[in-house]
Amino acid sequence: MDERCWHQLELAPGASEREIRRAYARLVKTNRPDRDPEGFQTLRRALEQALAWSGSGGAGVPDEAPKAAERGLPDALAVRLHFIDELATQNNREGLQGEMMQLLSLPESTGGAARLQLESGLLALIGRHPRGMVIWDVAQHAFGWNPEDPVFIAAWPQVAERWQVWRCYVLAWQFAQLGVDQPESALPLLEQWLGSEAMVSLEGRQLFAESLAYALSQTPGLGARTFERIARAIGWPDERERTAMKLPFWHEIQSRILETEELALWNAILRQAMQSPVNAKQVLHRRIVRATLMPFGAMLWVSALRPGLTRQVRAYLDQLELHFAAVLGRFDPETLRFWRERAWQVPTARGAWGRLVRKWKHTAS
Amino acid sequence: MIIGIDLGTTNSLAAIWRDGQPLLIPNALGQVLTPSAVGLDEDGHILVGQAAQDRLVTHPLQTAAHFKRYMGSDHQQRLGHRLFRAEELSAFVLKSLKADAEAWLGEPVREAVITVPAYFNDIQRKATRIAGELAGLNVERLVNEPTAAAMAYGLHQHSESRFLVFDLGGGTFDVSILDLFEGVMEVRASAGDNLLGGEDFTEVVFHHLCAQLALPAAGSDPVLKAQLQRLAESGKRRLSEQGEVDVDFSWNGQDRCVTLTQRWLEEGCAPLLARLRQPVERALRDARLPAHGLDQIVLVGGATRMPLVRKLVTRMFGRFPVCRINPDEAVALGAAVQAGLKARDAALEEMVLTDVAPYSMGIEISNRMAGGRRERGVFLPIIERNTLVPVSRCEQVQTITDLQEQVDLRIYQGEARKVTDNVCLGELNIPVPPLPAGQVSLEVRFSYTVDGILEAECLVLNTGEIQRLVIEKCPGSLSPDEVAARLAALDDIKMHPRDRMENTALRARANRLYEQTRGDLRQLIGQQIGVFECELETQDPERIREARLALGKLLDDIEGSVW
Repeated sequence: MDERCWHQLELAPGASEREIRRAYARLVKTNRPDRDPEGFQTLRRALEQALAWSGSGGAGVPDEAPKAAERGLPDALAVRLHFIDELATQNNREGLQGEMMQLLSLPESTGGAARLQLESGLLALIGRHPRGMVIWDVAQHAFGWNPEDPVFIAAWPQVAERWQVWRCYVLAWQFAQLGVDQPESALPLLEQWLGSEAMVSLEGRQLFAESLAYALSQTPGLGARTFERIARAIGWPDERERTAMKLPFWHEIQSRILETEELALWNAILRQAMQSPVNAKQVLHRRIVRATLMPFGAMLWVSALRPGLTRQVRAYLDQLELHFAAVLGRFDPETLRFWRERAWQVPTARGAWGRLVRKWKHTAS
Repeated sequence: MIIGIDLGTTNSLAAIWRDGQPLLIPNALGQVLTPSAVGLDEDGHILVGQAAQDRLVTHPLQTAAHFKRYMGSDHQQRLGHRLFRAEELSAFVLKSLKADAEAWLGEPVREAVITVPAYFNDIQRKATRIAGELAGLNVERLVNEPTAAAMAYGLHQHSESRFLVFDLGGGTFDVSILDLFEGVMEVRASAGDNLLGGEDFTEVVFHHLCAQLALPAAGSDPVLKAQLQRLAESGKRRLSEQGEVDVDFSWNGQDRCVTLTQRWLEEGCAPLLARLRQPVERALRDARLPAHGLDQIVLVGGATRMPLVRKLVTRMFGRFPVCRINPDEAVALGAAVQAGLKARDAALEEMVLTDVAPYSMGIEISNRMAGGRRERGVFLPIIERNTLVPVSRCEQVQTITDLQEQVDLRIYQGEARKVTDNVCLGELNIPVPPLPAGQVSLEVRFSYTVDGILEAECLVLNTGEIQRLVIEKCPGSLSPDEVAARLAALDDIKMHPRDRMENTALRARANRLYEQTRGDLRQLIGQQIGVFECELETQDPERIREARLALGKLLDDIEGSVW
C-alpha cells in the first residue's frame, strides 16, 4: 500500500470514497489530461490506489443512502398476502388456484392506491417465494401482467427485476444441466431463448448470463467444447479477455472444465490402451503433448496405470516421463504445488510423482 | 477562433463557442446541416452540400457521397475525370464549412476541432487530420462523437450522473458510457461498429424496392440507382412518422407503387438491429456496470429517429431514452464545447474531460508451445482497450532464435488474438546483440496521448539502447510529402462561388425533381426552370431573389404533395 496517494490527493488516510472522488475532481482541474499528462497520470494512480484502499473495507465505507424501509401494507392487504403465501406453500392442493383468485379479487370500491400496493406486495412475494411461479400464474390472470411489456417494466422496475432474477436463475440451471447432458438439443433452445422477447432487455440478459455462468461453474461434466459453444451463443468475451475478470465465475468454470477434460483424457487413454496398445502411443502423444498444463495430470494418471499397459506403451511412457521431467523446472512453484497436491490424492499416482521429480533432478544435475 | 466540426457520413455541421454557449453556424443556404456530398458543376468547380446532394440523382457520375466510409483506405472515387481519395472529398466539405464560418463570423478561421466516431482506428483518425490539413485547417483536436454529444448534454448539469450515449449516425455506430461528477466528465468505456448506420437501413429498403419493382439490382444504371436510393431514403424517413407508406416510382412509362410498412422494416432490418446489441453489452462489460447502473440513455445521430431503433433501445434498457437535444446537432454542439475548452475559455474552467483509448494496442509475438513448437503472429496487447488516456504502459519480451541480430517490432491495433486480424500501425527494427535465444530482453513502452498519438519506445535491456517511433506513417494513409503534393493538386480546383450557392442549389433541386416526375408536373417544372434561368441572366439581385423564392415555393409544394 502506497501511502503517498493520500498526500497527493491532499487527504487524511482513510477518507471515504466520496471524499476521494471529490478531491480528485478538484485537483484534476489543475492537472488536466491535455495540458499536464504527467501530473494527470500521477493523480489518477493516486485516485485508483485510494479507491482500492477504501473499497477493500478500510475505514472509509462509501456513504450510501440508507435503504428505504419496506412500506407497511394496510392490514387487510397484509392478511391477504399472508394467506397467499401460505396457500402457495401447500403443494398441489385441489382448488388452490381458485382460492388464490378469490384472495386477489378486490371489491369494486377499492381505490387505485390499495390495488397498486397489493400488486407490488405480490410481486415482491413472488420474487422471494420458492414457489413464486404458482402465485405468478394466478396473479398474471388477475391483473393482466406481462413482464415483457416495457410499460409493465417501467411501472415496476424493482419488481420486474426480482421476477427476472428468479426466472433467470431457474432457467439458467436448467440450461446448464441440459447443455452438459445433451449439448446438441440444448444449444438451439438456448439460442431461441436468447432471441426471445424476454432477453431483449439488457438487464435480463446480464442477469441470465450471470446466473448461467454460476450454474455452469457448479455443473459437473462441463467440457471445453460445450462451454465454448455456449459462450459464443451468449456473447461472452473471447478467451483472452476472460481472465481479466470480465466473465463472472470464470475461475470456477475453468477448473470445472479442466476437471472434465482430465477425466475425458484419462478415459480415452484407458480405452485406447485396452483396445489397441499400438495406437495408444499415438493417442498419448497427441493428447498429452498438445496441452500445456495437462501433461502432468495425465502423466500421473497414466503412470498409475503402468502395470496394466503393454511393454511398448510403457517404453513410450518412459520417454514421456523424461520429457516432462525436463520441463518440470520451467513451471512456476504455484503450478508444481497444484499438481503435487493432485498426485497425493491418488495413491497410485504418488509413486509416479516421486519418479518424475527424481528424473528431473537427475537431468537438471 | 477555433470552430467545432461534426464531419458526418450524411451531414456535416460547424459550431463555435461564444458567450458561454455553443452556437451552430448556418451555411450559405441558411441551414445548419450541410449534406456531406461533393460534386462537380458544369464549369468543373467543386459543389458541396445540398446542391451536390440533389445532383446525385441528375449527375451521379460527377457527384460523390458517403465517402466517410472509405476514410483511411485506398479507395478512390471518380468525379468527372479525376480520382479523389476520401480525405480529399472530406476536405472539400471542411473547406465549405470553413467558408461558411468565415462568412458568418467575419474573420478568418484556421483552427478546428473535428469529431470522429469513437470506434475509428488510428488510420482513420489520421486520415481525418489530413482532410483538415487539406482544407487549410489546423486540427487542434479530434474528439470522439459520443463524447462530444455527452458534453453537449452534460454542459449545464452539475449533479452526479452516469449515462450511456447511443450514437447511430449515417454510417457509424458508437456506444460510450460516461460518468459526470463535479464537472469531471469521464469516459468509462467506448465500443462500436464502424460500418453500421442509417445508410444500411436505407440499403435494406433499396434492395426491397429493387426486388419489388423487378429491377435487376439497378447496378448497371447509375441514374436509376441514384433515383431508387433517393426513394428508399425518403420512404425510410416517412416510415418514421407513419406506420405505412407508399413509394411511387415510374420507369419506362410504367407507374409502379410499393407499400412499405413499419412491420416489414422491422423484419427486414432484424440483422442490423441485432448488430446494435453487441457493442452495448461490450461497453457495459468493459465499464463493469449492470444495465440498471446507468442514470440515462442518450440518443444521438439522425438514425435514432427511426421508431424501430428507439423501440429496441427502450426494450433493451427497460426505460425511455433521453433525447433533449436534436440528435443531428448534439455532436456539433459538443465539438464547440471542446473548441471552447481548447481555447481555455473562462466559462469552461470548471470542466474537465477524460477519455479512453477505444482499441487495444500491442505488438506481435511468438508463443512457445509444448513440444518446442512456436505459434507465430500472436497479439500481445500493451495498452488494453478502454484504458484512460493519457497512458503509458510497458511489457518485456525476449528474443526467440539463437544469435538473432535484429528484432522487428510490429505494432498493431485491435482485439483479435492473431495479429493478421488486427490493424498494423507501424514497425520498429531494433538491432540486438547476437546472443542465445531468450537472453536478450527488450522493454517495450507505449505512450498514448489525449490526441490519440501513439509513441512506441523500445529499450534493449542488455545494451541500454533506446529506439523510439511515433506512429505517423502507416499503410493506407498519406505521408507528409504526399499530403503536400495533394494540397498542391487541390489548389487548382476551384470551389463553386459561395454567393451563387443558393441559386445553384435551387437549380439542382429543380432538375432533380424534373427527372423524378412525369407528365404535366414535369412540364411545369421545366418551364419554371427556364423562367428562373432567364431571371438569372438579368443579373439583377432583387429580381433573382424574387424568382428564387417563387421557384422554391413551387418545389416545396410539389415535394410536399408527391413525396
